[in-house]
Parts: sequence; C-alpha cells; structure tokens
Amino acid sequence: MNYKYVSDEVLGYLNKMVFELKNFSVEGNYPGKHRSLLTGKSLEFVQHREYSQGDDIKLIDWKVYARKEKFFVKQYQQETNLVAYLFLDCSSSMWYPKGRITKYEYGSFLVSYISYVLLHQGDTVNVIRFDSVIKDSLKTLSQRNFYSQILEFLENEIVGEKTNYDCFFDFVVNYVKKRSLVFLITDLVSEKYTKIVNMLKQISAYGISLIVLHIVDKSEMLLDLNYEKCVVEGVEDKSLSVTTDVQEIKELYQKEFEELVSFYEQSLNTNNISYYFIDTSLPIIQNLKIVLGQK
Amino acid sequence: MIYFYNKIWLFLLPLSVLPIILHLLFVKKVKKVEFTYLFLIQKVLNQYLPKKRIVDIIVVLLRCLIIFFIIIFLSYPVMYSLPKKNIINLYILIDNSFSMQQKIFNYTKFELCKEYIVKLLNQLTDASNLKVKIILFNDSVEVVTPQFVAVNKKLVEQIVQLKPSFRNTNLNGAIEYVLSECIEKQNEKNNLYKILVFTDLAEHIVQNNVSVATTSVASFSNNIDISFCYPKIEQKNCYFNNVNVSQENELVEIKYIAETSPVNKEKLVAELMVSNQKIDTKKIYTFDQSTSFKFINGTSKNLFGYILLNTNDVLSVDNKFYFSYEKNIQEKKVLCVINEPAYLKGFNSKKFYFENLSLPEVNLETKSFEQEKMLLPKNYDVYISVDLPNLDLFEDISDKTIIIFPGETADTDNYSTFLDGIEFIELKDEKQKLKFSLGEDEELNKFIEKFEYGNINVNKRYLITVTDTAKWKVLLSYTDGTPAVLNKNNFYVFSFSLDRNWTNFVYKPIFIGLLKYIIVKDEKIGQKLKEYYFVGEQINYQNIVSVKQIGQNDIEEKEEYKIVGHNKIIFFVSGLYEISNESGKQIVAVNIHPDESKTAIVSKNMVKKMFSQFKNLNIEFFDIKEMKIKQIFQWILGKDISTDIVYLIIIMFILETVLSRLGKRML
Repeated sequence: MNYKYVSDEVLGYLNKMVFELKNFSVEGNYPGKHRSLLTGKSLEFVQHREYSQGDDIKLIDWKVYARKEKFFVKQYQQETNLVAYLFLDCSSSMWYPKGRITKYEYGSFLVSYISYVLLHQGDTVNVIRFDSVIKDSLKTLSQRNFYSQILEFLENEIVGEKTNYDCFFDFVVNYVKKRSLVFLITDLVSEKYTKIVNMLKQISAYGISLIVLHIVDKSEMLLDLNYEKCVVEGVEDKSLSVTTDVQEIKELYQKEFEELVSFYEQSLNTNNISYYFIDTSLPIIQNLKIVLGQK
Repeated sequence: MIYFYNKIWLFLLPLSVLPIILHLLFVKKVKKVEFTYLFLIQKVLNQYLPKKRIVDIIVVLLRCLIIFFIIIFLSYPVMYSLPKKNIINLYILIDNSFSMQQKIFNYTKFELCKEYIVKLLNQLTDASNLKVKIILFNDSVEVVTPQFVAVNKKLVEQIVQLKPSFRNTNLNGAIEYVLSECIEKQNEKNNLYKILVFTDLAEHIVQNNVSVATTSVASFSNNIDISFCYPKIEQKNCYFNNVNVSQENELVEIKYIAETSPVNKEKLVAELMVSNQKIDTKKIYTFDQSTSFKFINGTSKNLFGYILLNTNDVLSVDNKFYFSYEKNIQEKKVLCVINEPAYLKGFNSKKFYFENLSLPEVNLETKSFEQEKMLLPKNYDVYISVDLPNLDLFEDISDKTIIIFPGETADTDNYSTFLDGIEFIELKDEKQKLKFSLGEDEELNKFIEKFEYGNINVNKRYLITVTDTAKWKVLLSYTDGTPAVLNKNNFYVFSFSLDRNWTNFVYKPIFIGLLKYIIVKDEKIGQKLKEYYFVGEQINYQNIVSVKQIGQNDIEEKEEYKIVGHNKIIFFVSGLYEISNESGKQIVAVNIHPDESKTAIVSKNMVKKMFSQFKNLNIEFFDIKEMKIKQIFQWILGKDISTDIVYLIIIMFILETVLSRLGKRML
C-alpha cells in the first residue's frame, strides 16, 4: 500500500540515522538506547559508592579495596527506551498555503519520518493531533511494524479550526510522564506568544524534554501575497480582516516576523527547549538532519 | 473679493471631490486574500497606519485642491487688490495716427483696437467701481469723454464712432498729458488711476522718444499702472529713401535708395512692377546704396507701377513705392553748368571768383525771398549788364536757359527732383577735355557737343571771369554788394561768396527757389505733372470727373480719396489712380508720406527706457493680435492671480508626487 507521507528515498537515508537525547535522562519501560535516570546493568560506568549492607557482593570493586582497604561498589548507567509524543497542529492555519505543499502536510511528513527513526531504535511513539482540542491520538509500542499504523493514522487528514495551545498543555500535564520527549509541530500562529512560551517553559520544568518545530511557509516570512493592495483575512478567524497596501508594509512585516522568530528562539533555547525553524520551501531531509541531529 | 471671468467653469467645481470618490471606490474593490499571521500585519499597521492615513488624507486633499485650483484657473479669477469701495479710474488712450491705419488681418490697427476696447468694455459693464475716460491722440490730444464715466452703452457707441486721422503720433505728449492729470489728482482718497494705451508704438523719429520724460511729471507718490496694448510686429520696417525715374530715348532707369529701419540695415530684395506693359519683374539686392532698374520702354508710352521692398513685413504697404512717369516733350531747356567747388581750396578772397568782374552800381534793398532775407535791386527790371565776352555763342541759342553755378555733382540729383527740364552739365578742366553726360533733348545735345567750354574764359581752373559787366544784369547781390546772380539774355551766373552768411549759398533752400523763379519767369518750359504725390497732400486738378484706383476692384470712395471742390483731391490710401477730367485721363502715383514711411516700431525695452525715470510707474504690455482680453480685464480690476494659482498648482503637484511616491519610504 502506498502511503502519502512516506518516501523510500528518505527512509533509506533515515535508516542510518540515530536519534539520541543528549544531557537528558529518560524513563522508559523497556531497555533502549537512551540514558536512564536509574543505575543498573549496563556497560556505561557512572561512579563508585561505599558498600552498604544489602549490596550485591559482585559489584564490589576489588582493585579499589586493594588501594583503599574499604569496600566500594561500581555503579553503571541503566539504558532504557524513549517515550515520545508527537503533537501535530491540524488547525486551519496549518492548511496554508493553497496550491502548494501546506504546513500541515509538511508537518505530517516530519511526524512520519521522526516516528520512523524513533521506532527504528526501539522507542515508543505517540502521535496526537490537535487544534483547539485534542482531535485524535495514536499510541504505539516500540516496534517497527507499528510504523504502518502511524502512516495510516496520518493518511486520515483532519482540517481543524482555530489553534488553542491550552489543550496541548492540559494533555501534556495530565497524560505525559516525566522524562518523556514531546515534539510540538506547529506554526505558532497566535498573538499570545508570551503565553505560549510560558506554557512551554512550564512543561520543560515539569521534566519533559520539549522540541518545538515551528513550521513556516516562505510567503509567511516575506508577506508575499501576489497583490499590492488587498483585504487580508484571517485564515482561522475570517471575521478579522485588514485592508492594506502589502508593498508598503512588507519591510515592516518582515522585520516583525524576524523579531517573533527571534523571540521564540531565545526564550525557548534559554529554557532547555529545542526550537527549530522549519522552512517548508527547504527539502525535508535538510530539516530532518537538523532536528534529529539536534544541531 | 474675487470676480470670475469665465464663470461657466465654476460648474465643474464639484469635480474637485473626484479624488475622494475614486479613493473610496478603489478601497472597496480590492481583492480578498487569506493569511495566517494576521496579528503581525495588524501590529505593523497599528504602528504604520496612523501616519499612513494622515499622508493618504493629505495626498487625497492635495489632489482635490489641484483639481479645484485648475478649475479656478480656467475660470480666470480676478482678485480685487483694493477694497471694493475704492474707485478705479481708467484712462483709455487710443492712438488714431496715420500709422494705425495699417492693416492686420484685413482690419486696420485702429479698427482692431476699437473692436478690442468695445469687447473689453462690454465685459466691464458689471464692474461698478470702474470709471473710464477716453482720450484720442495723434500728434495732439483729443479728450473724448471730459469726465470719468461709468461703462455703459453710450460710451461703447462713442468708441465705435471714433475716426482715424492722417497725422503723426506723439505718444509721449499723450502720456505726459495723462500723467499730469494723475499728479493733480493723486491726493484724492479712494481713487486708483490706471492708464491703458492702445497704440502701435510707431513713432517717426525713434531716437527722440528716449528723451520723453518731462520734469513736471517726474515724480508722483502713488503707484500708477500703465499698460500698452499694441500689435506685436517683430519684423523690420523698410522704406525708400529716394526714387528718381528718368528716360533716355527708350531706356528707362528707376534709381532708388532703399533703407531699412534705423536700427537694422540688412540685405533686401526689391521687385519692380510696371502696370501698363509686359516686363520681367526683376529682383535686385540692395545694400543701402543707390540701385536701379533699367529696362526698355517705348518713347511714347507713359509708365506707372511700383517698386516693392520685399521683406515679408506686415508693414510692407509702406515699402511700396508707386510711380507714374509721363513722357512729354519739353518746350525749352535749361542748361545748368556746374562749376566744381574746388575753388574753395586755398582761396580766401571773394574777388577770386569774380576776379575781373567790374561791379555795377546798383541800389539794393533787403527783401524777403523764399523766407530768406536778401539784398535785391530796387528796380528789379533795370538790370545792370555785365559782359561775359566769350559766351557769345550762347546768344544764338535763344530757347535755352543756361545757368552756371558752383556746386557738387552729387547735388544735381536732388535738384532734378524739384526742377523738371533742367539739364545739368558739369564744368571740367579744359585740359582734360572730358566729355559731358548728355541729356534727353537731341537739339540741346548737339548744341553741347558743339559748345566748347574752353571758350569760357577760365583763367584758372574752375574760374569764370566776367569781363564786360555792362552787358550783365545783377539779379541778386550779397549784403556787401557782391553780385550773387548775374543774367545776360538766357544766361544766369550764380556767384559764390566767402561771406560768413552766404558761404553755402548753393546749399540753401533759396538756391532752389531762385532756380524755380528763373524757370517760371522764362515761361519757356511746359508744366509737367509730378511723378508721384503723397497721401494727405492736396493736389490741384482741374474739373475732376472721376477717380479710379488701378489694380483694386473694391473701391470705397470715402476711404481712399476725397475731392475738395472740383479742383483739389486728397488721397488717403497709397496706390495708382486714374484721374479723368475734361482734357483726358492722367495716371498719378500716391505714396505714403516719407515721414510715415520712416515710421519705426518702438520696442518694449525702448518704452520702458522712456519711462524708466518714473519710479512708481508700473508698465505692462499686451499684444492686441493675441486678443487676451482676460489679461487686461484682470489688469484693470485688480491683481492677476492666475500666475499665483499656476505656481500653487505646481507646488501642490510636487507635494502630491513626493508624498504619494516617496511617502512610504519616509515612513
């Protein structure tokens, strides 16, 4: 069966790719490739600890005893799998622009390929779509054969309404465990950008690793509307409209847009939230390299 | 207060709001476009729109104002420069001199001016604070309306009835007259004086105009506006300085000197047209020198026609010289022997000239002769005879009058103009044995060929000696008793004196007068009709039956000539006329008077120079040919704000362009 949001060419490339969270311990159910907060059986040595009653004698480091004449036990970093939540914004603004690949479609591709990488390395992937409410979700196990379920899930497209990040926040707080990884794939079309940043900060502080993928169409960056003077209508709320000479305000708009992106980047990065600016005009591989390599 | 000349344009004033309507319509019809980051656009607009809206409003208002002022400009606004209670006293000076009869566009300048004034006054009938005084001027001033009167139909009729004259122009005198009146009235309150002069700015002696200003009107406290309405003529004015027609056998020669105006002396082309026979029209370039046409004409045929200095000038009527030359046989001839004035050199004694002349006893008395006071013999009939022994040969020629006088060869041209039938012979040194130029009379020519000047006892070069004074009559003497004119039979000898008063006797008008006197007294020469007359000259002509202009079909008798009684005729228009009376038909040529021909157009600068010493005199010029009544209208009633409006429109247009094009970048 041919799925819309997958390409063999990209998958071939992704086979070689490993996604690894740096400086972040996760809490998984199964052994995996990610560092666990717990110590246990593993090859990766963490530290020595003075022997206490009840410790396994096998763990005593005899070489240290020879030098110090005290019992020390070796502790190893336990490795576990990752539980990832991919939140895809399916609001009406994500279905912009018309006539070429929409932000939603581009986001679906991202969900598809990130899921593939994570599943490939034994991580658990959950896909949730939302606009002002949680529209639907897909919970998978860390098995590769679940990838086709994700593709089928994405195949069923949803054109949502206005975005409301409250539902995303509520869901994360209530249902997502600590030490999980959350991808937020959205266009961040909201004038309450300070509120969004605060919300994300709280999630991060809760102990969830957060990666924000800000998907933007090039026309949104440049305000390229193909008309000089026009009535600009809100995609999400058509009751809002302004009449303007696009050429006149283009430069000012671009400046404002840069400031908005800069605000998100600075605010989120300083709070250990990864922020990636995704330009839909670029090849998806290029964006995936950055996101999965976490450069 | 503003008065609109073309009120009809004001109906278009609502069009001024067109930019606002277009702006609103344009806003409504823009395309709808969906966009995501609307909040960013709104944020930008919140910063940008207030300024942008102000600029937009200013631009739309400027556009409205531009249309508004264009409509206002087209409706010719006149802004009263003074409160309406002030009275504008307008002098209208109309030049009716002869030069104003020249035609432009099939109308004379005078008619054109009248039409112009009538149109102007008809427009001014609504102007309640305007009073007009009409003054007609040529070389004198004629006040048509003694007092300032309101503009009404009666005044317009008065102007229509104004007649042209044949007199010269004295523009200075007319303006001086008006300025004097203005000075008298300058202390009157609520009165503003303006002078509107309708003239062709043609003056006869241009140079004299520069010294127009008189001390009596050199200063006045208030500003006086003076405006000249004139037909703008940029071309040169050319005229004939001198024209002589002569015929020897069948060869006709028309000698002429053509001159351009005093300022420009350039190359000209002359054309000859002879009316009564076929002749190739010749063109000759003239360079301010004597030039001539020569052509063959039957001896029995009379000639009439004209020479034209072709300048493509509207004043070309003046540049036509008409001539009529009647071939008639002279009954008697006068021989003038010219004694070259080389005797002046090196001699200081009056006795030299009449070295051997024995002076007769004669009682002289002072008498007026041709406005010159001279000593004449008391008994004019009793002449004292003196002998000029070797001139006996002349006695055989009883039908010849021989005049010997000291003079210059060049003078003979001038004398021949006045004295028909005189043959001038230049007396030369016998040793050179030069031949003399011959006249037209064959008999006389034979006589002259036979005549040897060596027989005249010339002791020294150019010296005429009278040996036997008893046989000579003294017709005229100088104040010291020296004979001035001697006569023996048909010989007249004009003597020369070094007397202070009479040194240049030959060059005085009396010399011509004396020559005339001698010819008339002898009554031996048939009277010949002049070759041409002048416009305005009274011509004696017996029993005139009819007058017809040659070459003109539409004769209007009242305009072209006037018969005074039955014996005199005055022509008003130059040309060729056939006059019939009982004795037959006679063709006469009538030319523009030489003074009129030398009329020159005074330039604007010259007029400004003329009045430059009047500090408070504001001079303006209007070209009648352009018929810009509106401008004059504005000039009379007040300030002409049309130029200001044009500047305003330009400034607003620039502002509109800057704001609408560069405004975005500035913001």
